[in-house]
Amino acid sequence: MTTLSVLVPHMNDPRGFELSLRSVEAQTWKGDREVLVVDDGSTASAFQKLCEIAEASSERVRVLQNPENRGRPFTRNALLDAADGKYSAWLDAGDEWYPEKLQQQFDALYRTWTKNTKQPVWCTTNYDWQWEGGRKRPREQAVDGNQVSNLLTGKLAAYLWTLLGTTQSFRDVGRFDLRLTRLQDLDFFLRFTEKGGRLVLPDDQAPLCVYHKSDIGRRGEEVLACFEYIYEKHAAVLMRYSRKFRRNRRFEMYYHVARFAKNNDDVPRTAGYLAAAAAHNPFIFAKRMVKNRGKL
Amino acid sequence: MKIEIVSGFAEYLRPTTVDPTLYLPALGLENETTVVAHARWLQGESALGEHAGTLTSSRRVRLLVEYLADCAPRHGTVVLGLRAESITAPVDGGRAFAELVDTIRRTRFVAEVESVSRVHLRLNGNTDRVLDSLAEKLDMKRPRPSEPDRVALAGCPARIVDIDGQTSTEDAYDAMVRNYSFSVLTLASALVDRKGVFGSEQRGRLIAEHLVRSEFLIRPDVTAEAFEAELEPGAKLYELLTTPVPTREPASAESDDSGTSSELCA
Repeated sequence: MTTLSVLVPHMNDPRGFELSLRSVEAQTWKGDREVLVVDDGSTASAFQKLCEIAEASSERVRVLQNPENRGRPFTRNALLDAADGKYSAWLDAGDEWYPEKLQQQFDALYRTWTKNTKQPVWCTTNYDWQWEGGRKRPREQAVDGNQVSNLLTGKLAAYLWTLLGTTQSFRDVGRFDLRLTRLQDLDFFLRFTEKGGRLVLPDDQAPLCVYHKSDIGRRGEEVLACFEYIYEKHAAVLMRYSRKFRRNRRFEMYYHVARFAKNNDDVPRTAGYLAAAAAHNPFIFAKRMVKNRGKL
Repeated sequence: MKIEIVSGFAEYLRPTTVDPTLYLPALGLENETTVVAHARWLQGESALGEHAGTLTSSRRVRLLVEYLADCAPRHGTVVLGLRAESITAPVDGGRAFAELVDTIRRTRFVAEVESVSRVHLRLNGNTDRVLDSLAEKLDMKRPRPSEPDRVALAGCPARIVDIDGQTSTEDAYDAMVRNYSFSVLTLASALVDRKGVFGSEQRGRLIAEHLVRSEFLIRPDVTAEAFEAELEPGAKLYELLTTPVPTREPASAESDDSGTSSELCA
């Protein structure tokens, strides 16, 4: 049995995969590990390139392939099914880990286990957020307090590629929801915390990975539909919170998808989503517009 | 998987601040499949030193062994650094160490255990004696075994590693000189009472760190007696220090040595 499986979904981005793979190679944690890639129906040339990169790497890389493009949730399920490691860490092709990430996270997991906790634990990290062509901006994860609430407000960002946990703890959450073409991470995190799971941070509060962000090709209406589905799916949880809290989630949802629409030059939808956001909470909307000088 | 337990590691080699690639060759552990398990999650706890924590319960020992197994590279070696007193302290240290070794042996992942009883720096005869003297005074270790080749600790074969400028690389040697001085200063700080030159152990450690950072080192010609004499209130410890880092002595001179959700993922 391998100690750690690094789980990488991939589609048509061999250069992004290479970037991610280099960051795995540079890890200071040198335990027994394999990189498991599931290709989700890339073109023949992209897949060929992926295999060449995998073969040239000093890491043990295992490449699997979906027979056709089946989407991110299906691919993540395939990764989890094929994972051989006692632990799993996620990494999306195109994102990077900093060298200390795994070492710090293993230490954090063990530190938690010394406290005799019975809770399932995932270790997340603070991270850098970098728009294409922009500079890195550090983001902090709020793990204190009510983590379900933190996930819903975004104070605790649901990003799989920040995580390290036992493979069993990921499997215990269940399958990734195939209906969620976007935001399947958020649903997965919510299910984990709702079942009593706990997210912890390493001692070192510095960012330990970087998210190279781009909204291009991510349609606002698709993200909106996924938000709506998640809120419906987790309605029982949402109902535990106040009306104001729920209204603000709707506000944030519309404000959030407006950004996707705007970054994809969809002006009518951008305007529509902003109007919907303003309708849910005009005060916060105005405040944010002033603060951001009209930018999303 | 093989586990190397290195006693005296924390004092002499300071693995938390020095790159392992520097000191592993000096220990004869140079191998691309060798890693050092820092076990930072147990730091700050005392019984087995900063790398093993208060392993008073078998659960903690089991966790430590699991951690070592997780850290081990494929077909490689993992090094666990312990303080010297973790093994040689009269009661607690020895018992905890025996428990650790026993657990390692019971773990199916572990193929072999080798214990290094003590890293004995042979940088300079005088400074080495200073450290020995201080450590003995603190009752931190027992006298060296008379037959070092036949040492066994808790049933483990053990060997004594002598590190000197001849066997280590240039960088490792310099790093160890720095670590060595740090060790002496830290031990010295533990010796003095609140009215002493350091005021408190914590302050002594801070001073030691500052001195080492500033490249002040214990002068090679300082004797144990002179050093100890300077640990009294009103002492002038700085007179025993030198700067910058001394060059390596020639081989012949070696004596003995409000959040928003705008970042929700999509």
